[in-house]
Amino acid sequence: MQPLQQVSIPAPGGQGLNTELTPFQTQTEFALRADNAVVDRIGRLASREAFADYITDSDIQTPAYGGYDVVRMASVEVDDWIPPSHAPLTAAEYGEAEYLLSEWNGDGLTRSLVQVEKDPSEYNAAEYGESEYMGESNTTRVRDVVFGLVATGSFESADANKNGYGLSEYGEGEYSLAGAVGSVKPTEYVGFAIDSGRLRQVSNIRPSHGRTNAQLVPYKDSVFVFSKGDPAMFYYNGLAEKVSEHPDYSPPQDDNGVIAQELDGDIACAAYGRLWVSGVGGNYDTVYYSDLLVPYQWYDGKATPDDAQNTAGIIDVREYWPSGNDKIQGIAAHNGYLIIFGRHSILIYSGAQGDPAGEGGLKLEDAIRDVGLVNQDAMCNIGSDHLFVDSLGVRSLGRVIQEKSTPLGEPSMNVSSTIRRLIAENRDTVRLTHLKSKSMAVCLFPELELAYAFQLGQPSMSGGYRVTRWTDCDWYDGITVRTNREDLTLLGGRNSRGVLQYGGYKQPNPYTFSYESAVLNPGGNLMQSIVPKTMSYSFECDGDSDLTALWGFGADLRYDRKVRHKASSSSDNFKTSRVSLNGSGEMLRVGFDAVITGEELSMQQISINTMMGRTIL
Amino acid sequence: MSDWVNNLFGAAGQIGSVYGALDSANKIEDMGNTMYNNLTQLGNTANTGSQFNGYGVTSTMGNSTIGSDGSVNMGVGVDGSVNQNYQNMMGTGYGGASDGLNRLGQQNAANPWMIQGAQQMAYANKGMADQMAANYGAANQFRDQSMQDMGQRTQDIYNQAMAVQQPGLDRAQAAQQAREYAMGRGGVRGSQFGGTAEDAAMARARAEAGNQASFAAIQQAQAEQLQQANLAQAYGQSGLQGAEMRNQSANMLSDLGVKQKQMTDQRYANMAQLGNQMSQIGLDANKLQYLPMQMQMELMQLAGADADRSQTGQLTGLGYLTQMGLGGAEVNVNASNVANQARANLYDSILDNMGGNSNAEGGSSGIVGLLESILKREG
Repeated sequence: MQPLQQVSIPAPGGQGLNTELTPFQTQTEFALRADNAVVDRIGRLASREAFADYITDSDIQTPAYGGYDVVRMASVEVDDWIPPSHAPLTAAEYGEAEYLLSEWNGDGLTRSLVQVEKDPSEYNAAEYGESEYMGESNTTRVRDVVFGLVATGSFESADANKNGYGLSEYGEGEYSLAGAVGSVKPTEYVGFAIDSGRLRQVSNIRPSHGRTNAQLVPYKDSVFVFSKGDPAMFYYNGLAEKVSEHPDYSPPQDDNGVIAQELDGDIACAAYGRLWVSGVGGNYDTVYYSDLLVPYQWYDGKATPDDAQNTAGIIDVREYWPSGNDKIQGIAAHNGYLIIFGRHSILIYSGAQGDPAGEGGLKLEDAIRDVGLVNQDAMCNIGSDHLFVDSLGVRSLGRVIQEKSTPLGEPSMNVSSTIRRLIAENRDTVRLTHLKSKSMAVCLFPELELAYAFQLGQPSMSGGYRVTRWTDCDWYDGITVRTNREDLTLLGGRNSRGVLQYGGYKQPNPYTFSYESAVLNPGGNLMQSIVPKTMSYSFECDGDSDLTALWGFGADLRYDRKVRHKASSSSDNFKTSRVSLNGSGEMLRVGFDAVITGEELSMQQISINTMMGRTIL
Repeated sequence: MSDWVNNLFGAAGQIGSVYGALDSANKIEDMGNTMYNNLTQLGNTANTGSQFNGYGVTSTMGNSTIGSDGSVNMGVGVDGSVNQNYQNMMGTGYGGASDGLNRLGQQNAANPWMIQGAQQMAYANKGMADQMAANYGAANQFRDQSMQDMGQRTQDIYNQAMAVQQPGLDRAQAAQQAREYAMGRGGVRGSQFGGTAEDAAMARARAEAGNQASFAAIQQAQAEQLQQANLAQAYGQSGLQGAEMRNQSANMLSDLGVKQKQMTDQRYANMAQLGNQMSQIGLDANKLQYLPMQMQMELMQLAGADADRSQTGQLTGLGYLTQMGLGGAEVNVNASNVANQARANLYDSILDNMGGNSNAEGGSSGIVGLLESILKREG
């Protein structure tokens, strides 16, 4: 028997998930499993933050035995005052100046973006508007900052028996609502705004689409709602109406008449002071762009335009598809470029600033083939780069631009085989969301409630972003709201959970932070068996943790054992716990499951005491 | 007693006076009747004696009488032979003059030089008219051409010019579109330009080419119009000269006609003068046939004076007779009047005495007084 050998895995999985490793590679920096994990600031694998309840109160009208999903959200910037708006004044009974929309919150509390808190002054904003008590009340008058869409419908019961009998036949008493589980089957979409800690339904906005084929575009101080085949609408601080109903609306037109009465496309973007919309009238080869800072004026090709200053226009990209045909899947702006994504092509235009049709205006810089976008929700800008989901995985546009027709930039290369399959199965629903304040981009598969979280910043040693996998993702959309107090990462919850916050470590249902290592081969010889004896987990956790050690030999970690913690003798939150191991094999793999119930857990190091067995002859 | 006496005498006096007055009146009435009869007889005598007796004149031309009722019998008539003689003379003279004038007119009408001149002038006039018409026709044609819609002509010229330029412009536009595509600016349309700025520049270039062609077409059309106007003016001028010559010819013809008319007028004036002379002769002849009657009337005037003198003597004698008769009657009346006056005065005084008068003492005078006083004494 040989003496014990100690195998240490510092910062296990610190390079994130890597499903592209063979079982014979011994790169312990990568993890073969990293569920509900993130890579923390010092490169350790740590538990992700919780999908915590944040706003659950709502006046969303749902069907009986049904619920709602928050399928989309968008926010405008928070201001301390209401700037002059392009939108007409609200038709509120008491006018905007004197009474705010928040005045009827009932309890006289200060209007807040998402929280209800006591106002420090005698006269709060709810009762008296800012114009009267400005400066004395010390209140912050906040507009509706977050607007979104919810899908309402009945729950699809996951219970086959209940499905067989149906809720309608046997009433609530027999089959309670609690028994109706599963996902909401959307039958209708309706707008909402976050208002003083609840979701206030905006009934005027009822698009035909929400989960897919729709987009919310913050532009100036409004949120524009684009849905396939529906007239574009906008929401501004309680006012919701069609864009075409605006008094200054001027539809795309020329001397032959109106080209499109309504901007009813679902591919949209706000950039360089304009709205850019495709899919109008079902045409996905054309992009309509609005006048500069005037979202109600569109292309006017008449010999004598109604407004001589109008610089709106149309881009017909048909002749530039590099592969002969394509379909616009998304429009984005990055690094001064206007990016038009097709299904399998990318057109990169420069000169979108100023007058695109003017001299030195819009100009096709590059047309890249065999790279495209799967749907309009599967891309996000991370500031320094623009990420998008292609059928090959998550791609980096910055690298694509740099390398032009040989785009090798593949942030998801560490999980490429896995994510490629998922993308292929979920082309229309996969989403890519940038959680700005978390420096993460999350590629969400809503149908699977599964996501891959890419850690932005320093990439992994393989060149791809460090990535982890999130499970139990019961949300659709994620946005970051910058308030005066903090940056909030909000998630659109499903199954009537309302709006969630990505923060803290406490969810209604605990979640499991899991890790599995790659193969450990301390002898460097796969012909010699390994007999692990003990394993120590060094981790950082504020409270008690529910940690289960996992180990095995080969693909499956067939052994598991609860890790017993020593009684904490100090206030130090750094802990080391040991667990005895058994079994032997050639390819040792270790891991753990940590149930997160409110405290963060970061795995610092895993140490294994093992003995090397006999050599297999 | 005195009243009764008084009345008695008074009545007696009055009766006596009435009786005397009636008697005088009867005498005067008788004398009046007598004088009336005398004067009637005198009047009849004067009437008969003053009546016109008529007279007569006898001459070599005839015997004229004026009856007592004033009727005149000239006894001398119009001498128609005189008129007939003159009419014969006038007819002969007028016929000769007319023949002469007619011959003169025939000579004028048949003047070969004048006829030939008029014919030549007519030929020349017609030629000038034809030439003038042709010139005016040409002038009108050019005028019409010069007044044609210049826009249409300009459009035609413009179309020709643009048709020539079109291939080049198309090539330029195709090249521009190719450049635009190569630059990656194809398919971009902006409200400011309709397409891209390059499209607008091309459109401007095309518009400028079109504008130049348009201006050139306008200038060309204007030049053509000016040329046609000049031609029209030239032809019009020629036509105007022809018209002036024709006008001169017409004036000459008019002068000829005027002269002919003057000659005709002169002939008619001569004829009228001759007629006037003949008329005057006829008038004189007409006057001459009344000459015997005039002479007879002058004789009758002489005889009338004699008749007047005879009538005057007759009337003078009758005047004297009636004056004398009237004077006698007047004398007779005056004498009767005086006699009656004397008698009346007598009766009046008698009566006054018989009646008396009452005095202031109530007494009466005269016979009455006398009787009263008598009675009073007796009483």
